[in-house]
Amino acid sequence: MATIPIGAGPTITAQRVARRRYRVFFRNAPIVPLLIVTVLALVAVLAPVIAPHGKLDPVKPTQDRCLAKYGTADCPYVDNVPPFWAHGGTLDTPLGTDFLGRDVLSRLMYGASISLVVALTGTLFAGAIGTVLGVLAGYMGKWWDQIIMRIADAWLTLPSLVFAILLSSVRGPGLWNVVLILALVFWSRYSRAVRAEVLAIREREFVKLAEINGIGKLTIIWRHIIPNVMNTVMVLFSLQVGVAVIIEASLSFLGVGVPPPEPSWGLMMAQERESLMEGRWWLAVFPGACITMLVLSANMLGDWLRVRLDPQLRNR
Amino acid sequence: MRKTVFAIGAVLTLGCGVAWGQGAPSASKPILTGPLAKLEIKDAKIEAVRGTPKGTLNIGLHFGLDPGWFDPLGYYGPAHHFYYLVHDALIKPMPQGEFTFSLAEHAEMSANFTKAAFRLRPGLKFQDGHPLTTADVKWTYENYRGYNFKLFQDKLDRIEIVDDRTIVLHFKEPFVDFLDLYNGAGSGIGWIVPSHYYERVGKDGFKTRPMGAGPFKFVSQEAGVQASFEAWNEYWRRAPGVKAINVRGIRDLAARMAGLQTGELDLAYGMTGKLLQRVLADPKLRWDPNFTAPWHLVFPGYNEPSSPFHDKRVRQAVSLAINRPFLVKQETQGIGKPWGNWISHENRDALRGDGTELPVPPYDLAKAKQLLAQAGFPNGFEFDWYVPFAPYFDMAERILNDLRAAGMRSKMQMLDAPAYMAQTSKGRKGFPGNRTIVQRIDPRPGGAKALIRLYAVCGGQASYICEPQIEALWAKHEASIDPAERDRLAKEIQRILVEESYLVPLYLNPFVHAVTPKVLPEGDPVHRYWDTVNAPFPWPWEVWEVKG
Repeated sequence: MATIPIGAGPTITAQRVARRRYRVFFRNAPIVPLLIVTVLALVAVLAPVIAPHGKLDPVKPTQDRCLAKYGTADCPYVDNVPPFWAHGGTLDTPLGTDFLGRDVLSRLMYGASISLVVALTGTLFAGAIGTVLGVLAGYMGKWWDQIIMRIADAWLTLPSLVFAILLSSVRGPGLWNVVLILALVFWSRYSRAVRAEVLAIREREFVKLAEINGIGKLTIIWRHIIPNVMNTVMVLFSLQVGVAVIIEASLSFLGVGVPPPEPSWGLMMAQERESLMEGRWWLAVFPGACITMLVLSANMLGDWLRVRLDPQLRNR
Repeated sequence: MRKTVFAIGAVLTLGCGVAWGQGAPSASKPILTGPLAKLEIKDAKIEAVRGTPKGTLNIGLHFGLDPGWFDPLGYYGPAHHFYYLVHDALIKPMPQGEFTFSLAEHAEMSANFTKAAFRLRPGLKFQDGHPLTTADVKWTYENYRGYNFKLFQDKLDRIEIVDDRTIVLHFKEPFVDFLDLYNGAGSGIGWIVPSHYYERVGKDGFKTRPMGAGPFKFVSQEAGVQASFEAWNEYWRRAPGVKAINVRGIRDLAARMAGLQTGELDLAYGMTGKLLQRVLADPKLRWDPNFTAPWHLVFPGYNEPSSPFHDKRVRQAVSLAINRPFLVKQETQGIGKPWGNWISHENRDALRGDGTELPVPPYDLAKAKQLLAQAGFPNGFEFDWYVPFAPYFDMAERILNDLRAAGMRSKMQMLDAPAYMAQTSKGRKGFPGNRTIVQRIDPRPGGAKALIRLYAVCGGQASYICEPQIEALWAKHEASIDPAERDRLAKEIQRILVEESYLVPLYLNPFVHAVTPKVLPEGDPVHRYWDTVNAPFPWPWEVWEVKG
């Protein structure tokens, strides 16, 4: 006679449900963008461990290389070494070296952490500020709504890059200044979208019931409103990350973002503009490709997330 | 008969003599009485035949433009580029010599240096047709607020206008350096501003739409981006060779290079760096090395005990850590020269920094580290900012790289030229904190004393250095009217500045300019445009010619 352990049935059901939910959620997931973002995130985190060389120090050259490049046995670095597959390239510096003899691959790896840190934290701060203000405007209404939304409207009329450059010239260059600038530039987008969402949620029965029961406004916001706007916030967040990467790269490209010698992708592109004229395409193309890949992946993920979290779009 | 012929001859001779006397230029007629100082001022070269301006010269400046550079009354920074276009000075550096008569045709200084006198050329006028008189010279002096204005005001007793063309400046005490500082290259005070126009439009109006007595009339500007000028055919010396000049601020070297190659630019500055090899190899381009001044580093606030640069050993370590020969090779293809002084050898009374008078600073990384360890930084230290001259950011990163190798770590503050120059013009006050290195260069014709006065003494308007030892020597210098003693003191100060590493010289900068085939004359004679000694830009502009 077979024995069935107590509790085995419900456990199997729960696992199945979880697996099913997981499968449904990730149905049509953009695998390639997901993979790119995951790889870049891992590279960013592990850069100090996996990067073949330092981010700031030139690769120590051999005597042969010095002789070949400068005609002397001793030199501090060998600049503009091409990628390994090109003539003169070496596997020691697989993607070549820049004008200061620094390894391009290592700088791209460290650059990933700068781009991601700046873009993620900047967008996160913007999201936090925008969400709080959007919820307050939407739920409290009256003059809260008037003041916050008029400011947000005015903010939205400012072209983001020009506004970012203006803020940057006021604050000066620096990694955390760029984060602050991103937060200040993007909060209004969150607040607009969140407010619209809150206007609908606050009329729902569960909110009305909570109000009838005398629950405080802050508790209602915390317990009932914020959890219900998080889907919108997450979708916006994922879409804004790409824009933030571009803004950071643009600021650094213009010389008002992350200051040299830190390796930011935008800065790396800016520093090698002249190299494009000299045919050293790899110096500007690789950081450009990284920016393109990250922005495209973030946008595709955001788009997918928007569909998955919207019941109407999801069930089409 | 004989008597009659003799009488006619005598009358004719006398008549001709009187006529000659009346028509002779009054340039040599003395203004001051008593013994005079010997001045070596060259005569202006006035073209007998006035040509017709042809074509347009498009210039690519290597940084953004500041409208403030059109106003001599607020002189700072590289404004002379524009002064030579729109304005004119009584005396200014020209290819003929460092001191060359321009609006003035005669100048005198009393032997005790308490009076200076000028006589203007006859018939001078501003571009609006208004006569340029000594009243404008006086007004300019009295309203000047740029570099050294306090010195000019403090020294002045009174200004005596003798007539519309003759003016005498009376000083309270000997002002030996007056002519050096009043000369067009030394400041903005010698560039005569039309008082009637300035008072009508105001300071901001003048910056927006400047007007002067120079060879080119201002046409339009897009603040920070570009400015356009057209030939003023009535300029006293000659009609300009080109009809129009457009100056565009293009910080990006690749864009300037592209401009030269596509023909959008005819002249571009600052072609050193990553594309210099391309400039040198391009058969269509002609280039001039145009050695200007040495690059050097200063340490704002070094004399505060909390600054890491307070310790001489740290400043020496900075100097020893920089691989000048390699830097010169990378940045200038070997054209530049590692140099041991922060003042160009073309400046009067400057010590040569090529090893003859001051040694070329060596590169010794091990000793740099050792000095840092002795100064209490065995693991190096971080300083706040490295501030380079725009747009030489690649060069700055090379230097930062060298400093990092010795253990001195920092990041670069990338300022555009107007912001950089506004900050550096304040000297130490322009840089908060005391953990910053500023990379500087100041190419200007004139005496080394002018640079010492501005940057290296306590009261200098853009002073970075304030040392009792230097102050004592400078006080002696100021009290002396013996030229030999003054030169000796100026050289002694230069020696101390370098030996104590208050300033760290890098290399003599070839400020390479490139021109396209459109610029005349063809071939090597084009180098005549760079004949003015130690001038950073190829003035005077009225001599430039391009294909129409």
